[in-house]
Amino acid sequence: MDRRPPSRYGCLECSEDAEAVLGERLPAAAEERYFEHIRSCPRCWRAHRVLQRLYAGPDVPSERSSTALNREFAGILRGLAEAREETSRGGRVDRLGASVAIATLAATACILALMLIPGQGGDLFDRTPWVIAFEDPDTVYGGIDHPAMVYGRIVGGQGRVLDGRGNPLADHVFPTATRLETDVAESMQLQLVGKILTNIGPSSELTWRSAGAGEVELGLDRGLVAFRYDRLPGDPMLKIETPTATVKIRGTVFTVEVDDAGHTTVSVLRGKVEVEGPDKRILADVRAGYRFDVAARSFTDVGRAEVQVALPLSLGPRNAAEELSGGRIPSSWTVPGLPANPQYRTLDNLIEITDKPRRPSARVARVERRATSVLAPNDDGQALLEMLVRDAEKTRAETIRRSLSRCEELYLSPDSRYRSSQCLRGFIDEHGGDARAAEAHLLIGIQRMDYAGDHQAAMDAFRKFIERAPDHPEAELARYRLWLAATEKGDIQEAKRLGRAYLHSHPRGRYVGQIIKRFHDLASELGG
Amino acid sequence: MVDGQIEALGSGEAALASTSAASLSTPAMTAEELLVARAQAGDQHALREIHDTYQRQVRAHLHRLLGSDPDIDDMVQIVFVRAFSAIDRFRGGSSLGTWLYRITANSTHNLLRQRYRRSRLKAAVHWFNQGRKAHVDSANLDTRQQAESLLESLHPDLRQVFVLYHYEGLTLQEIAEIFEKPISTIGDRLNRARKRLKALTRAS
Repeated sequence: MDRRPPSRYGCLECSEDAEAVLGERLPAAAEERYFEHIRSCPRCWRAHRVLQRLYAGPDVPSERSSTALNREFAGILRGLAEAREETSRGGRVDRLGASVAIATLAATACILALMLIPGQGGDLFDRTPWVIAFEDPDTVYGGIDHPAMVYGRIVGGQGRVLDGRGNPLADHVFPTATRLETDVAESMQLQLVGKILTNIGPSSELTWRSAGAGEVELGLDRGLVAFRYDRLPGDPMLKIETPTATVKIRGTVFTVEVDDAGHTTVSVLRGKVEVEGPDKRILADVRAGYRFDVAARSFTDVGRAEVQVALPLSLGPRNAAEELSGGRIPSSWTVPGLPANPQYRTLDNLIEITDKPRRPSARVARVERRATSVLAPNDDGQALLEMLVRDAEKTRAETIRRSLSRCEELYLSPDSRYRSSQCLRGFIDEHGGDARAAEAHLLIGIQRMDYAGDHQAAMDAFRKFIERAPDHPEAELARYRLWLAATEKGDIQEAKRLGRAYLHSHPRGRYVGQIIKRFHDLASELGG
Repeated sequence: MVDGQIEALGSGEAALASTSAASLSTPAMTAEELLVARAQAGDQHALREIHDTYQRQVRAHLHRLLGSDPDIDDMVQIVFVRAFSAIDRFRGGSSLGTWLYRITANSTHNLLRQRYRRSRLKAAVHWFNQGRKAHVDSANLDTRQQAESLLESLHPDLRQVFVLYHYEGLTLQEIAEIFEKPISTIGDRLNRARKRLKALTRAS
């Protein structure tokens, strides 16, 4: 029996008005008529309720607990690391990807066909379309998180370090806007923001222009400079500007040369480098093993001079099967003309294929310390080694003295200092158990930090030294280096803790100024 | 001596540190731009801050879009993984929230299409198997389930617009930015969504 009132307002009109009622846009009289109708029409009433529900939207899920959010964020980081790994693998699997895609399409078509047939085990459509599985790749993240990290440091060699106004700096630690110069018989090794290892060849002029969270910028006016940048996720991009080109790097080993005529040449030993012209147009993607001449827009093979200037940056990871510090050219570098056998991967066996004339100044000279050098850079390690040798001569066994003398020989020359690492490692292997040889851990730490950029290995070595010889005269140096390694690594909280520990142990120490320079707030620790 | 050392560091060093700090952040930057810059530099704390700020928005949006679904937590992770992977490319043309809506829309697009096709197929199979009884079943559903079911029947393109406009409260302009489509297209989709829903409501 139809109980609806005899009115022209029927289900059709009700349906038309439903949205307006829900949006409160209908005049009161019309609204009254609408509700009168739905009260008497179960179908319209139900439609109204459904529409009302539709426009109200589903209930929002309740707030998640902080533990659940922590777990979720950890999962996101794992997924992110996995995605980045896949992206880096992407290039290699492009070709394979095409055939896999075809096979996948075929398989998908089969699965879809199967899905149309109802199975015995229930509804196939209710199956989750994909499963997310995250691995734990233990990704290490980089980045510049604190102004304390925005410093450069000279780790070896000779040269001039000038501030923004051209005044010489008397410290081995320097900020941005610093200019670094070498003359014809000098070379200098640097570390920038604790991440970028740099070897400035002879007759070179390099300016560190800026460093930020996204980019580290350098300007090369002339000379040959090698860079090694093992960039971690989150680390800034490295940009080098020359008079005729801009070189952009995400992580690699390469050299940039500006000759006397201002022409730029970029050589890549590992990874890939992007070269832009002055108009910001990309000129070339230079791959490992190639040298790109910006003026001629031509490629040749990398040569001996580039490999030679990059060699001080060749110190490998501490657990690498191949120790790279013995003057051998790392197998990860692409150097045409070099034998594959690691034993023969030395500079002497490198055949210079290219006929490009070399500037006489672009050769790394192995020279003695020169009195004319404006800067006597960080010599912590050298002083320590000299002390060790003296000490060994007096009190230690002949074998220890002999081992140390060999290391000292390598260490004393600024150009071969990086090669003393292998020697020191041998010394530790041979005499590591001897309490009197604990200093070698300190030297190894300095080497790992300065020439490999391996701050964690360096911190382990410094801690080992402090643990074995807490009252050693050089314990102060070890504590300072431990703080410095944590700072350059970007572990700011740990750096502050270590800085405080140093200031408490050595309130009048040699390195108080260095610590306060980077962490002003720690000055309060000296308040008493 | 110590005091002397500290004094020597005095104003010059302070200026130095402030220069370094300045190179990390420009004073004109808004809090969100600074947060994005830190995230682009790979600062995990910044990523965490973005996650904590926007996870509720993303989760609620996914819930409104997909209904009650056990996969929502996984989808939230996928959206943030995609967002953080692409954070280098975020240029600040829109707000971070709008950008995340766009990523959510892109991330769910295929899933919605897949489910839409599946729901149509399922309805057809159900109708074939049960004949008229299907209508009786649907009448027994409560209004919440029915509303969810109707929304599922809406074409993904229309559904996305409807959810963003009515549930998320975005303007047509904002939705147009998210989908990078003209406002007229978005307005048309919204009208089609409403009409379709009305028709479906009546039909059910």
